[in-house]
Amino acid sequence: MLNITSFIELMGAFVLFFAILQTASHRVDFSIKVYSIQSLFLSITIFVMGIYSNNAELYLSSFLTFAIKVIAIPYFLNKVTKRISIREKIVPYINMTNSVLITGAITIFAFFITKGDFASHEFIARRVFPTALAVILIGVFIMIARKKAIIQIIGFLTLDNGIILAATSITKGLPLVVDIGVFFDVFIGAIMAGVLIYRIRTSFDSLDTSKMSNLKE
Amino acid sequence: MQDNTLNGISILFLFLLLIPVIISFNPRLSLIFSSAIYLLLSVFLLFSLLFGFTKLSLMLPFSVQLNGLFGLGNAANSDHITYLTSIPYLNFSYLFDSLSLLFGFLIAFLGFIASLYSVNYLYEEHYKNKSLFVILFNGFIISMLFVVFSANGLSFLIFWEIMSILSFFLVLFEYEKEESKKAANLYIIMTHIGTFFIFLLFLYMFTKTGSFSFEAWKRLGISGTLSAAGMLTVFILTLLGFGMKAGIFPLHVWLPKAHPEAPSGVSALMSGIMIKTAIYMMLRFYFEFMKSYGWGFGFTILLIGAMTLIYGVLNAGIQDNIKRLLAYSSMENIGIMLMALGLAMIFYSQGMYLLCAFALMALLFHIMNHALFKGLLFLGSGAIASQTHTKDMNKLGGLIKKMPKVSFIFLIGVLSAATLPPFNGFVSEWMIYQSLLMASSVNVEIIRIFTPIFASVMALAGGLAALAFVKAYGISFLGRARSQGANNAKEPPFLMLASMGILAFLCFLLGIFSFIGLIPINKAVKEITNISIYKNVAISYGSIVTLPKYSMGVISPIGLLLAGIVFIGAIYLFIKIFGNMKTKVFETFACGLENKNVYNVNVNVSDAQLIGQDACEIKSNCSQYSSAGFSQPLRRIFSGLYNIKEHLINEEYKRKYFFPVKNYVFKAGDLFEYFYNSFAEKFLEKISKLRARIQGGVVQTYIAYIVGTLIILLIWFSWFHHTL
Repeated sequence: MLNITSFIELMGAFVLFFAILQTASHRVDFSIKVYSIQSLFLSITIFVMGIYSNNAELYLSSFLTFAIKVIAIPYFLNKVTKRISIREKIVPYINMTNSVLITGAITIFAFFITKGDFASHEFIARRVFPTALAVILIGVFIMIARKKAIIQIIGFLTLDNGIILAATSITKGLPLVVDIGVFFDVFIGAIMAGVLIYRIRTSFDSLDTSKMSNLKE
Repeated sequence: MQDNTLNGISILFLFLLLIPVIISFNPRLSLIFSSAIYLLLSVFLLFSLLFGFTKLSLMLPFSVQLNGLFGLGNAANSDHITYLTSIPYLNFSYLFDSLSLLFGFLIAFLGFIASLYSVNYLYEEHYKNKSLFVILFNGFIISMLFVVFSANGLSFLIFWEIMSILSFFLVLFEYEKEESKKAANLYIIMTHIGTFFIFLLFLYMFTKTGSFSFEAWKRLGISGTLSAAGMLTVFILTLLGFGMKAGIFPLHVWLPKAHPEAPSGVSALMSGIMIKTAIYMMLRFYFEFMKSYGWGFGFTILLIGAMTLIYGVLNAGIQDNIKRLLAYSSMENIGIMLMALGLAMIFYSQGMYLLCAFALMALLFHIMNHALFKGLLFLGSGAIASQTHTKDMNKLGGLIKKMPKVSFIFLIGVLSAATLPPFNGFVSEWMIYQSLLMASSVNVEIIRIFTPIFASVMALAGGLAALAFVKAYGISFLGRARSQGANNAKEPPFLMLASMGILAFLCFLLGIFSFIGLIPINKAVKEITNISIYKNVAISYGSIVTLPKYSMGVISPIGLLLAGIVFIGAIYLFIKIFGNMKTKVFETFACGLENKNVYNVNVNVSDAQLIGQDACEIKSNCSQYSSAGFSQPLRRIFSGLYNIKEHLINEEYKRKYFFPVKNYVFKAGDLFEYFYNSFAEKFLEKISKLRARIQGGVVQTYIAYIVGTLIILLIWFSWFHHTL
């Protein structure tokens, strides 16, 4: 039986799925696409939560997610990648197979630590929270395990998606002001990072952050 | 409460204080204007100190109209002014009691002198950013005024920081010079460490009283609820925080570096009064916010004062830079003040209020005197530096002939600083000496044992200070010019001379009619101890400083002067009658030989060789007794206490045996600076090694640290707290 809670959980699971897919991505443009689709599922999740809890602010939040994360940021990132013409493959510290295995472990870990009576008050969808936590940890894992700066940005954006998912699942939607602030923050952060990537590229001739340790002393 | 009460005159002064900053595009006009304002302000503050702040502001003509003009009506009858702000705990409240008025008067007066002096000095030194100087200078004086009048911890801190930062910029004023940069860096770092401790102190007081206002802290002091441990905390924090600004013994490192680098008007202010704002706050803490502590605190301060004194004076003796010598002498005087403060605290803790009042009076009088004579000396050194373009005493000499007026004025300052009788330094130091001797009547064994030791330390320091100032005066003013700059020196312009002359006159006046200075000080002392000691001190003939109950010290400055005049007159007459009074004028150091050629080998050369002759003469003049030579005995005796680098370098290697040109390099550093540096070097090396291991410079590791922390926290959380 597909009631609305399970639907929310399903959408949350898709968010997690695309986060895992992100670790398996070999190419930058594919990564951006995956991020875009993940954000789309996030926006659907929020929208359904809005229907469920009858909260108009969540509709706006969902719309903002769609506008910024599905359209604006991927568009911008695509532009940056074209401008600095990244054709190289994603260079990992940890290879793809192991990465996917580790993300599995991370997901189990996330479910493991949230297994008890995690919160006293009511959840919209109980199993969305561990999913969101897993997405956060996977985002961080991407940031750690990849060398290219642009993939690290995508890792950061994944992390941010996880945070928003967790926040909406626990609190039935943040206050609108906070929400708008967070969106604006992420958007500006992505733009800044894009500009920074361009600078890194022009001064190091590469996006490999491991080469940045030359800056030390 | 007395919120939002203030009087029109204060507002008027606030407006007036802004004007010099506004018209700073014309530095000369602005400085003349600001000197006029500070003169007015100092007169106002002095009179309000003598007659009471609230009464005076009503007594003045137009004051009622002024109050009406600013819409204050008759509300202006309080010495406490408060501006409330919307930020919690931050109230700008000001207190105009006798103590703060005394310090405010000194600041305004010295500000008047310094700005009068700077009118000409700025143009003599050819500074580039004259307008900037005016703005910083006025801001510095105003912030000092606000510091002493603040009656709220937070607003005090704000003005304290403004004061520190503006003085930092003034130290950095000649920013092209490497020396200035180093000194300014050291200064800003150390002064911020001090501010950190002050902040801790104020927070501690806040936790005890729940308020930042000095009123509440005073109530805490009266109620005596502060525990012994709490008092110790407050004591240590005040010592670290304010001691940093005052330049007490182990924390003094910035002082002899920063003070000489500032323009002379500013060094006069910094040495004359800025470092004493720290003493002012110590007075507030030790006599108002804390009561009924043991004698240990006072003894500690006495001990630190003695160490500051001896260290400062020993280092003053060996300096070649005249302004650095004066800065170390300031440190010495801070030591003297701390000793007086420590004595006052000892007497206070033992309930001997009369002696406490006497020591406090001595302290405040010495603060006033030091402001006058050290201001004078710094201004004088600025006059020398602006005319000769050097501060190195090894390049001065013979100035007494080139600038007789400056040398006369400077002599007065030097005599005051060396604490010789007809001048003010003597009277206050004598009073401190008396209170030190009276400490033997304290009923504590340790203090009785240590009193003679401290007394002998002070006597030794007095002797060494005299040595340092004999050197300062003798090397730079007597003999023959050691450099071209000193040879070409001229008298400085009128306003520089006039401002120094005023200070010199006051040094003389307070040295003879000391009771004049003691009248306003008595007000402040009375406020702290509730004893009007003035009548006990200045009995009958108006000039006798004594404390009859303890029947030890009686001194009459006028009598001393008369005795001196009689003595000198007698000697003069003796020589006149029995001696050969024929006066002959020779070249200096020509051994009385009339033939100039004996001394100056190259005197009969053609005009074409004039420059060469000058250089030759200057070179031969360097064989005079030099500054480094003068202080050599001191360096040898106390060699363990200095950090000195002396080298004799062969300039040209080839001419090793035939008339080798040698260069003597002498650098006197501060021993404690060396300690701190070597400690910091070792410490920082270890820290940086550890840091290099942790911070690999790889972005991913940094993120991994964050994640590691997060995961540990998550596990810890899920293990121990299953419910939110």
